[in-house]
Amino acid sequence: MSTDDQMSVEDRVRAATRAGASLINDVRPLDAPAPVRLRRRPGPGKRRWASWGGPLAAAAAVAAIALTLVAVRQGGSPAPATTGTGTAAPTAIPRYYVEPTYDIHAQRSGPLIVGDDRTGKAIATIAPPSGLAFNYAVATAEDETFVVEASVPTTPYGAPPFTWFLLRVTPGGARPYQLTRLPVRLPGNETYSRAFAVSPDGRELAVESSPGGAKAKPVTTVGIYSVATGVQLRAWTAPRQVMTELAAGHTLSWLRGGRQLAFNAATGPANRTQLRTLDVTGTGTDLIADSRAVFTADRPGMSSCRSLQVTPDGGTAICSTGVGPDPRSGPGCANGGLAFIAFSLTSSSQPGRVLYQYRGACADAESFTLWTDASGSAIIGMTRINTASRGEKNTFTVGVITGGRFRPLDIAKSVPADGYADLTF
Amino acid sequence: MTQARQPAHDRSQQITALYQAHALGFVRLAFLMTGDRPTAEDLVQDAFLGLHRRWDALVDPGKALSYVRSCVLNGCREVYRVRYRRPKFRLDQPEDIESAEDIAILGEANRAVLAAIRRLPARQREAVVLRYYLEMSEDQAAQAMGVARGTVKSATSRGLAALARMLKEAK
Repeated sequence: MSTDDQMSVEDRVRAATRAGASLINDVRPLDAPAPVRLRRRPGPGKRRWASWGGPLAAAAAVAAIALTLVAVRQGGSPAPATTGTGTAAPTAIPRYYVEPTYDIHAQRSGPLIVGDDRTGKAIATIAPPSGLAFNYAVATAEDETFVVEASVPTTPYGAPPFTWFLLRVTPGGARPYQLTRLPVRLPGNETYSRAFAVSPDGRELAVESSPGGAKAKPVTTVGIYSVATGVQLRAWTAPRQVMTELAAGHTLSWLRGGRQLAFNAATGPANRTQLRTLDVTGTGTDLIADSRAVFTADRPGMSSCRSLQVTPDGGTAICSTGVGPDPRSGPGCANGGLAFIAFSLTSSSQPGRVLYQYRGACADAESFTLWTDASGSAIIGMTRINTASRGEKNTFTVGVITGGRFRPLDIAKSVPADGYADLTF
Repeated sequence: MTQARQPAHDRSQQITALYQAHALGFVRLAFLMTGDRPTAEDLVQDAFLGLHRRWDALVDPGKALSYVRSCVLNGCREVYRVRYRRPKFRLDQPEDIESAEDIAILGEANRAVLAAIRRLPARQREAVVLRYYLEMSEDQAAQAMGVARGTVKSATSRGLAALARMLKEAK
């Protein structure tokens, strides 16, 4: 007779639960209460990095989408950097942005606002199609074109079926925008979209999803769908839920001209968040075995990333950090705790390169990367800085970070400041 | 009597102090219930952030920990209730989430017991964990679960019987 057989069930429960509890020996610091409205947004938009230098990429994107949609016109071109009536912006910084508004208090989605950061004005306010709510938006390779996700409005997350729309902004046109439904559908009646990204050539939509339903297996799937036909072209699965959520949601982005996808997952030692890349030209179907870890986001001694953005060239991960209300949880603002830091993905021995560091005083603060150019030499970031020594007095700012400087952008007043983290450029 | 509204900074300091003192215990409790560390940490974070939002409405700030414990237990129930419905919370089989080191530390017998506990109905699972992990009395467990003492007694009894059956079948 074994020792276990001799123990009572009660004693076995005591022993097992104490052994199980002993596996947890530390906890992460308490997150700051977030005045910033944060839904589960996918990784910020990836665009322009191909099209600014190569009109062919943009033209290809337009041509691909035009196979099924008349909404996109070949005439669309990236906005020249020197045009516009407002504040001049540096070359290659996106001009147009969208914001799927959300009333955090009413827990209700609102309209989609399209804005122009050169004029500081809204171009259009778009109500969702009947019976749907806008969830998120991602950028395409063209400044005036976005893909917007919508679903059945429930709280706090949308419910299936998930639907995607092509949003084409036409400033100065008879209609300031065109919204056209894409034929992409996720397999299954209760499949939830968690993140999505448009390929650089505009032909494919990558969607990270998980099935719902009482008998569904908790798998994670990253599928690639044809924008033109909606057909699923490729799919990789993991036999469990491996994706982790940073404060800003998931990272899912196309890299290296559409040859790779980047995503974040809890697969490393101690379930730390890893950034992984997947070669979409390979033959495998296993999301983990066929991808490789290129960066560990929350390793010891490193500030946790509120957002983790990969540059489209695949060479750099940009981690945006925050400062919590507990002074023991990390460096405060005066010591550079609020920062945008670039980590090389090609040389793990290199320390992070600080792109921008806030050095003023704060009680607590946080930051998110909203857009990056091909190599991370210019990014658009958002900061929330609470400067009140008692209570809360938050300043929300969106700006261009380049050369160690943060230059604020002019965001339309109709965009709620506490929703800046959901802006898609 | 409702307490006077405190400045957010003071509130944050008090809640942070509570978190530093008690978060580990709550995460362990949630981990035993759910078997998933990230989910357990998220549940405890959410509970303390909920405390932050409701601090001014708490009639008795001394009951803040009871509030957090209720939130964590509710969150664990929600995890099981929505595990196949919402993508935010996904439970994995224990085999999937344990590292080789964890497996070695736990041992086969303890792993089998923990897996069996997670297969219990929610009320039985809570009663068993509160009674035999936290060593709560029936009255204390009843208060934490928001049920009658008799319910705790019957849930514990049924839970233990089910565990004995599952462990016997697993041999």
